[in-house]
Parts: sequence; C-alpha cells; structure tokens
Amino acid sequence: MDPKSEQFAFGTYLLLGDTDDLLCRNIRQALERRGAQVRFLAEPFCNSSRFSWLLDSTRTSSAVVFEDGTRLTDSNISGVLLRHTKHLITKSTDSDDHGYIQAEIQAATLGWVWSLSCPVINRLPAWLWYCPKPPIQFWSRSLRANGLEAVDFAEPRVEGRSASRTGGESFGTGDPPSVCDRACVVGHLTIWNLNRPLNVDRYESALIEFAHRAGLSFLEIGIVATSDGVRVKEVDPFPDLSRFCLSSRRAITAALTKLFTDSNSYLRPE
Amino acid sequence: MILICGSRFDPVIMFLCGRWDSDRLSYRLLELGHAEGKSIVRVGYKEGLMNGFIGGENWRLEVSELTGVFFRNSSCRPKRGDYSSYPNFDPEIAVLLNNLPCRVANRPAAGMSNRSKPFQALQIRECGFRIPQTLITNNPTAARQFYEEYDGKVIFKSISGVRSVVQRLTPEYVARLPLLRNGPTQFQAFISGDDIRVHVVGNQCFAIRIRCASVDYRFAWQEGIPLQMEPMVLSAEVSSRCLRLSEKLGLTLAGIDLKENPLGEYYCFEVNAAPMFSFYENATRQPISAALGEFLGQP
Repeated sequence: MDPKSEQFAFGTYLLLGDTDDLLCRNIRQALERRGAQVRFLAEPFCNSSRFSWLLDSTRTSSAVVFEDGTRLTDSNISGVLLRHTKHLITKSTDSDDHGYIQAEIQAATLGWVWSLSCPVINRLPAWLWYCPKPPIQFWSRSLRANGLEAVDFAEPRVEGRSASRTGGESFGTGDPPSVCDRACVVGHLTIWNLNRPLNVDRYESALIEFAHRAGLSFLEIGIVATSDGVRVKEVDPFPDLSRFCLSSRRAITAALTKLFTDSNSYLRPE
Repeated sequence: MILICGSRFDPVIMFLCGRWDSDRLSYRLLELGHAEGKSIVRVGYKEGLMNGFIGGENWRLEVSELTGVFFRNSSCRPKRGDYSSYPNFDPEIAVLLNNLPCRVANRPAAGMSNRSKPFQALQIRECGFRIPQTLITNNPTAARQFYEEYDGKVIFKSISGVRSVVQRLTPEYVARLPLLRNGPTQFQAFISGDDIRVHVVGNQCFAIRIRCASVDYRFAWQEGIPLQMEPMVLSAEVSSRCLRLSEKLGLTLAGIDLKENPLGEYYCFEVNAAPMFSFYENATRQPISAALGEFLGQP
C-alpha cells in the first residue's frame, strides 16, 4: 500500500473480535449510532494489517495500517473491546512455525493493549490472558477476599483419576449444580439475566469489588444457591450475550457503551 | 516442610535436591508429568482455610505442614511447533499453587508475565529501569527504518516466552525482512556493556557480572567465545529496583536480566519466573539454592 493513500482515522473504537460475535455487533451499532467510528481487528500483528509498536524507557507509540490503507495511531484509538486472546492465523505459513507465530502474536497483543491509554475492556492481567477460563477454584482466594465463595464440586486428580475430597464445609460430591442466576458486572453495575434475584444487595457490591480487584470492568458471573448460601460457579471475562435475555442484552450493551464513552465510568486497572 | 513440584529429571530440580540433601534440608518431591510418579492432591477449604494433603509414593504431607513450595514446570515442554498451550500445566496443580497459604516460588499465575516480553517491559520501566528502544512489528518497512536509524546496531529476539537466541540484525537478515508479513518480531537497539544477572530470592539479591563478546552469552559456547562470570554487589538503588520489580510481578524467585552500559546506566531486558539458577550458582558458588531453602523453609 502506498503510504500516500493512507488516511488518519480519528477517534476510532477497535473491536478485537469476530464480526459474527453478538456483543461486537451490538457495541458496533451502539457506538456508530453515537457517531463514532468502529473497526474490527480480528488479527492484530498479522497478515491483514501492518502493525508497528515503538516503546522505550519513557514513551510508547503504535500504528496500524489496515488492508484498505487506513492508518490508525494509538492516540486516535478511543477504546478497545477485547473478545478473545488467542488470535488465529488464517493465512498460515509453515506448520512448524504456526504455533510459534501464534505465541508471538499473543505476546505482542498483550503488551500492546497494556500500552494503550484509552479504555480497554478487558485489559486482562497476563495470567488471565493466557488462561482466560480457569477452573472456578482458581478464583477461590480472590472471591473469598470479597466475601464470596466458589462452589466446590470438582473432584481432584489422583494419578489422572478422580477421588473424593477430604471433609470440609465446601467439599461437595456428585454432579455440579446448574447455574441458577447469571449476571454481568459492567463497571459499577450488575446486570442480571431475567429478573434480579431477591436479597442480592450484598452480593452485588461484592461482585463489583471482586471484578475491580481482578482488574476487570466486564465480567459474567454464574451463581448457584446451595444449602450453605450463594456460591459462585462461573467467572467469565468474555461474557456471552446469547446467555442473556433481550432486555439484559440491551442493558449490557448500553452500560458497556457508556464505559467507552464516559471517561468517569471507566476505571483503568493498576 | 518444603514441597518441590516438578520433575526429578529437570536439571534445576536435580541440582536443588543435591544441594538441599547436602544441607540436610527436608523436602518432598511431587512429580509432575510423569506416569511413574504417583501424586495425590486432596485439598479443599474448611472455615475459610485450605486443608487436605498432598502425597507421593510412600509419603503424605498435610497442607498445614507446608512452609513453602518450589514449583518448576519445565517438565511440560511443548511438542515441536506447538507453543500455543505452552506451558501446559495441570489446572489442578495450578489451582493448588495459586491458593496455598504458604510461600510459593513461584505461583503459576505470577509466572505468566514472562510469556510476553513487551508486557514485562511496561512493568520494568515503572520500576525505574531503562528498557532498550524497541520495535515490535510485522511491517518490513518499519523494521528497515529502525535498522537504519540505529546504524545497523540492532538485535532481534522472540516476543513471547518461547526461548530464542538473541541475534544481531545483519544484512543477511535484513534481506529477509519481507517475511515479517507472516508474523511480528521484536527488534531492539543494541546496548553495549556487561550483562548482569540478578537472582532475587525473597528479599535477597544475588548479582553476577558477565563479560562476554557474544550477543547472547547463554550460547557463547556454541560460537567458541569465552565467558567470564563473577559475583558482584549491586548498588542499593539497583537492588531496590530489582526487589520492587519482583514484587510487582508477584515473584518470590526471579532471574532478572540487566545490562550496564559504559555510562553506568542499567537496562533491564526481562524477568525469568523459572530461572536456571543452577547454571549461575555452579559458576560462581553464590548460595542461591541455600537462600531458597531458607526462604521456603520458614513457617
């Protein structure tokens, strides 16, 4: 692409996800209705776009040139919505190199999203970037720090097999209970699927605090009611809108859009 | 009691066991990734506290008995070309190590920062170290401009945690820059000076000055280039930066790669969460494994 044909895009929102992702589509529509420019970038640092990121002891600057010649610098990015961390290379080269290139792209993208000063939803910590859907027990300590408990149904590994756990109040056996209520934490809000359950005031503030301490401004939570009280069964930093009713989807989209467009709503994680 | 999680065939673990055996330090080894190692993990929570036990062949250790854990995952090497899931540790073990109330060197979650050098670089500079001028790109034109801007004194290396040899960007490699369209590479302005390796164990720093003419001293032997290593004392300021950096990354054991340029300025390249300290301890007799034993052995 001749650099002369490149254009500068001002105030653009980047969607690092797939065009058929429901949330990406909804956010795109909502932002465009507000007059914002929105671009999909399914594969940063590979085939379809030319990426350059410079950093040194004090500065960082980056630019991406899309296939159509549009040039976007980091200062012109208003916000980034991240929908997955494992970017698949569609135009692969040698199969031996494929995995290596993928690891390089993942590593570059993680660093780059942390270098941006605009809102990034979510700016995942490194461990979550590489292990975005860990078992619920992975969250136990941080849930407990916020007054929440993880459901404990999984049986431990013994030489690759399962075995019963020792006694204890949270050690369950048998089939995992199904999620009875589902919510999305979006910034300072908790948006429930269908109706808001009764007596969840205490949990709502704890869930919001839990998300913030994890450095996340957007999180899906599945909870179950047990004889010991409410337990968290699922934590997903890539919420799936299709698991929510229509009115909740609208509320989630509106809250996310506000996070992007209202600087007071978005808290940058440390 | 200290628990070692890893493979008995891992050279660092073999070295550590040998040292701790001669120091008469008690430990148990939980085999990871080997069928012959019969490991058992049975843990849970009671009244907010983790309890249960971990066991192997002919031994069993209550969680309450644990003072510290040394975790090294190198037994799970990626298959050729498959770096996507590397390092692929067992989620059960990861859950256990991330939640244990005792000291762990290192918790798997903390080790993840080492899988992205630029992510680490952003943390490094916040701790007061310089980082080299760096370009990460899949744009051949940008790479060539960077090469020219630094008069050809440029190196390149992997962006991820996949081990790579640091190499000079020679004219032969410049001719291959169009291949960047297949995937990005990290280029850095070459920093001259001595390499300095710092091992942080808890709140102690062990520093080694490395004099070597090779761009990557780890592979100097392959080029027949001599390598000199000697213990050194860091200034209080540099030492404090190293401790701050390890703490920021959540690491209780770290191998920090520094370089001191001829002006006495310190550049930091990366922080290894699973350092091969045996290589350095063998060469310099610094008591890194003893310090680690002391750190993990304290209740």
